Amino acid sequence: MNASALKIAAAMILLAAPGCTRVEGPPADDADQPAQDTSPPADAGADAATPSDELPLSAEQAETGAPAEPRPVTVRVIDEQEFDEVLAGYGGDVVLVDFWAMWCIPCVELFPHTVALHERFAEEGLRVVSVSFDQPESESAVLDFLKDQGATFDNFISRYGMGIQSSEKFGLPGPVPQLRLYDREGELVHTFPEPQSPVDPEAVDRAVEELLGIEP
Amino acid sequence: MNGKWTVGIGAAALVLSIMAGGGMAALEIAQKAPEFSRLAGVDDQEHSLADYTDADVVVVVFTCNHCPASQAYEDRLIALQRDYRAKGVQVIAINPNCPEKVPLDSFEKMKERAAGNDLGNWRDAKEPFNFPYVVDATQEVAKAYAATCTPHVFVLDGDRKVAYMGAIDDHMAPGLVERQFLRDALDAILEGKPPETPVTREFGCGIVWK
Repeated sequence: MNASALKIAAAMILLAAPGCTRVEGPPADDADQPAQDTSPPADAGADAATPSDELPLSAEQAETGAPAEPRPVTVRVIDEQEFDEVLAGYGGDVVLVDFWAMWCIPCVELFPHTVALHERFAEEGLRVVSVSFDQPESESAVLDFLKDQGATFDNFISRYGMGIQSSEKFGLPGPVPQLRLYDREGELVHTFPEPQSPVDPEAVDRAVEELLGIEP
Repeated sequence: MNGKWTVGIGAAALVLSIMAGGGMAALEIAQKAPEFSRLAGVDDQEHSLADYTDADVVVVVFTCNHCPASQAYEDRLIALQRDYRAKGVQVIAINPNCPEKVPLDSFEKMKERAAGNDLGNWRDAKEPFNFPYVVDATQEVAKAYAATCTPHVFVLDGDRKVAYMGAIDDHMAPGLVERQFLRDALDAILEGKPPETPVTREFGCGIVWK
């Protein structure tokens, strides 16, 4: 691992600090931040096999009226096959997948909207999933960000990290952020953004409401 | 395993891959590259594609100031320009981002980055850019090239036809790069051959459209 990669890891940690969504101001320039272990993604396989400690809480469970225990925020490293299996386990729900990265400012800015959609529509049958294209070694920094956001849905990090393999393996043609919306039959019915435009949060809202059968 | 999901993702990947060149206006390999003219550079000069007729090969790279992916590639672009200048390769960096939405992408900040100042953590060297850095204030050039993100590269051959488009290499972290897409493409083009991989998936921050 060379110095550049270490610096990138350090900068990613800095991006996770409060205020990372701020676009103005110079990039963080504190090289003294501790860098995490930045072993290559191939070495992250052991982490990838570690299941999340917390099982997903279904919408049905959420409706039982039991004392509300806030679901802990978790994240784990995943590859594309495991991701397919996760999606397959959501049969019957509308699924919104948010592909993002902490190094991607529009992604970080869009993330609260994804969290808000989950809060509004989880009980109506909306599953929300996030997949980060950050380095697997940055898992703790990603988790801190997700906790800060209140992302109590299923969160993953691509085991391929911030390389082109993440886009290739997960089938993204272009850059993050990209949102994908699947209907209750598991068909991909919407992808955001439209070419040459930013993600339109209101368009996402409309599409989610339509698939859930909710009058706007 | 639910086959429908797999098929759905596969089909989506296929459809989106077809769109990957940039949606409706995607460029094609061997297509004449869109012209651009009189773009303001950080050197306070205007730059047009037609100014570079002496270059055997032009590398148009859409990049910007704020994006860590762009920043992470600046050293590599400087090294590439240094390594390939004598071979007739000219890099031209174009910032298409809307500075009203991302103040870090302002023209003044472009000057600072190009001068080797205000670089943050993503670059080792403090070298100034050794290629023009110009602004696409109307975003028309990025649209004409169907660029989607920063960095996004288009290599134009001696006839100014598109010979390669996509990523610079396969990883933001220099130490994890395994595939040198851009350098391999340049080597092939300079030998008069088509690149073995003429189109790769671009990777970076989405262009900040107005």
